[in-house]
Amino acid sequence: MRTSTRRFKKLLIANRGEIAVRIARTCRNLGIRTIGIYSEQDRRSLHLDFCDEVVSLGEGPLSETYLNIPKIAEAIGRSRADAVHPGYGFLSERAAFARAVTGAGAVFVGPSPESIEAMGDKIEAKRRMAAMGVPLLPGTEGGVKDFSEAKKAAAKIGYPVLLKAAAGGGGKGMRIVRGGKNSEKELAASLESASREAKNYFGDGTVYVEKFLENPHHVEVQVLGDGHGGGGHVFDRECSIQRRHQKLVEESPAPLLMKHPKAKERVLEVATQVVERMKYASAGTLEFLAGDGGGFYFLEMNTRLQVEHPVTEWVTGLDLVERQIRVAEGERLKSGELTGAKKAGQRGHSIEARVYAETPFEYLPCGGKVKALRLPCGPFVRVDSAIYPGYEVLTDYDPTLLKLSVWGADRAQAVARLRSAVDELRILGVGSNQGFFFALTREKDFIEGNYGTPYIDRRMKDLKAIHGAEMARLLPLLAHGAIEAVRARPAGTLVKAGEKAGEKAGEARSAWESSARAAALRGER
Amino acid sequence: MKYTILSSETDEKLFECESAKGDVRVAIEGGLCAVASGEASREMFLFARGARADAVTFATALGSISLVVTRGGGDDESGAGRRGHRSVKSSMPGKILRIHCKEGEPVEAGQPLLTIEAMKMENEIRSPGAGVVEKIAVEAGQKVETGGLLVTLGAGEPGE
Repeated sequence: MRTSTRRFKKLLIANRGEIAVRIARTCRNLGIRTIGIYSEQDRRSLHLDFCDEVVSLGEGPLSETYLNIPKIAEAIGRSRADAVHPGYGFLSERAAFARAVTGAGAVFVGPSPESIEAMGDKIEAKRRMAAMGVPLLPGTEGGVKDFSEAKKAAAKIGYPVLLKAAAGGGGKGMRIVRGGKNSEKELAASLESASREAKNYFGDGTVYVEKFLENPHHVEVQVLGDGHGGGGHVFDRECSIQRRHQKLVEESPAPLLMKHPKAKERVLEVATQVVERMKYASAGTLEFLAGDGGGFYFLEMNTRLQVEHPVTEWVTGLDLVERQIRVAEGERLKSGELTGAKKAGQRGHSIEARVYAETPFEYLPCGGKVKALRLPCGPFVRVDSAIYPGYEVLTDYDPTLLKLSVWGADRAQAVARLRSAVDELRILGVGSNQGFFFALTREKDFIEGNYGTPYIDRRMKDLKAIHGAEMARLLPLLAHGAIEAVRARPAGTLVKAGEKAGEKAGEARSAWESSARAAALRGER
Repeated sequence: MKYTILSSETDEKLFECESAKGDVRVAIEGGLCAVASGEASREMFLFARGARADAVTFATALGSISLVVTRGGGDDESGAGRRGHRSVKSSMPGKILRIHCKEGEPVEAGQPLLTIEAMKMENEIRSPGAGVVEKIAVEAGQKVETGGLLVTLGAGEPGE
C-alpha cells in the first residue's frame, strides 16, 4: 500500500442510526477514535453506543440539530476532530457544510464542495454529463410549440414517446404515444389533451416530448476517486424495486446488465471517465434510467456514500468507508485502480433489503418500542441495524429499522439466502415491511430477476397472495399460543375485547412464562 | 371452550377456534421465545404479553402481529367489534393534523376520517365501514400512539 500524507486520529460522524454505526465500525477497525453527535430526543440512538465520545446538539427539530451547520462546526472544534464523515442524507450533499468542516479545521470525508454544487443542480449536472459524452434520455429541451414541432421531435426521438407537462407532477398532463400506423393521429390527440389538462391543473399548457421506456430500470454505478483524476467505477447496482420512488431492494450486479454485457461494459467505462474528467474525490454514484434493451440514460449523480453500498462491498471485498477515509487522508489511486494494491473485481451476487417501520403494502408508518429482537445470521448474511430491544422507534427520522444484505456465488444463491435471512428475522413490538420481503423472495419474476421499476404495481396481487397464504398458515399457531398465554394468567383476568384489565393482572407472571424458563433451564426445546 | 382472536389494532376478527389441547410448547429465553406446534407445523416466534391482560404480541416472519383473545364465538361477545359500535384506532404513532368528520354525521366506507402526520408524511385514516360518527376521541394537533382510539362509529340504523 502506498504511503499517505497523513492519518486521521479522530473522526466526527455527522449522522445517526445505522449509517453512523456502520461508519464507527470501520473507524474502530482503523484505530480512529469516533465522536458521535445527537439531538436530545434521540439520545437512545444506537450509534452513541458505538462512538468513543458523544456531543449533544441540544433539543429541537432537525433544522436545529442534525442539520444545524454552525452547531456541528462548533462540535468539530470542541472535540478536536481532524475529519468528518457526513454519512448519507442530512448534510452529506451540502457544499456549505463541506466548507464549514474545512473552516473548523477538519477534513471533509467526501467530494469537493465544487463537485457537490455541480451535481446538486440537476440541470447543470445533465449539461455537464452530456458534455462528457454521458447519454441523456432523448427529449426536447423545452416545450413544443405545436403539432408539427411535436411530430418532428417524436420522429427524431423514436416512438413510444411520453408527453409531459412542463409544470406537471402526479401523472397530470402526461400521455404515452405508442408507435405504429396511427402514431401521428394519436400524437395530435394526446398533445391536445395533455396540453389542455396541463393548462387546467397548472395554469401552464407547455408540454415536452421525451422518450418513453416501457419497463424502465434503475441502474447505477458506484464510483470512487482520489480528487486528482485517479480511481474509477466500482461496478454496477440495480435498484428497480421501489415504492413511492424510494428504493426497497438493491443488488449487484444489476440483473438487467447481466443480460446486456456490452451495455454494462459501456456504462462502467462512462462512469470511470466521469471520475477522471471531474477529478472526483471520494465515493459517489451515477444513477441511470435504463430500458429493457440495455440503453441507459443519466438521471443524476449522488455525491456521497449510498444507503445500498453494502451490496457493492459484498461483491468487491472493498470497505467503501475505509476507501473514503484513505482518499481523504491523501491516498492516490492509479486510473482504474481501486484498492491501492490491486484492481477490485466483481465476484458473485449480493442483494439488500431495507426493512422499514411501515406496513408491507400500504406503506403506512409504524412505531412503538422494540420489545425483543432476533437478527438473522449464518453464512454470508450482513445486518446493518439501527435498533435493539428496548429501543423506541421515533417518527421524527428516517423509517429504516435495519438493512439485510447477503452474498451468494450466483443470484439464485443470493435470493435463497435473502429469503432465509428474512424468515429468520424477528422484530417484536414494532410493525415493519418484513412481510413484503417474505413475499418478494418467493415471487417468480423476482426470483428469475425479471423486473423493472413498475414491478410492485404489476405484481401487487401476487405478492399479497403469497403474504395472505402465509398469514393463513400462521394464524392457527398464533391463536393457540395466544390462548395459552392469556389462559395462563390468574383467574378472572381474561376480559372481553375493549375492556381494560386491572393493573394487578398485568403484573402477574404467567405460568406459561415460568414453565418456559424452567424448560430452558432443563435444556428442553 | 371457544375462543375468538381479534387484531388488536383494528378489532377485526381473525380466527375462531376451540381451546388448544396441549399442542403448544414453550421454550427458551426468558419466556420470550416460543415454539407453537399445531398438527405438523413447528415454528419459532418471539412473544410478549400486552398491557391488556387479553393481548399478546408475536414476532413472525411476516413481522410483529398483535392479537386479542376473547372467550366465546365471534357472533356474540366479540361482535362488539363487528356489530353496533366500532372503534377506529391509530395504526401509527404521530400527530393529528386535520379532522374531516363530525360527530353525529354519517360516513361511507373508505371515507377519510382524519389525517395523521408521521415520518414526515401525511396519512389519511379512512373509515373501515359505513356508519355514524359517534365520538371523535382526538383533537387536531394532538399526538397519538399506535393503537390509540381515534373515532368511534355507530351502526347508523335509521332513526338513531
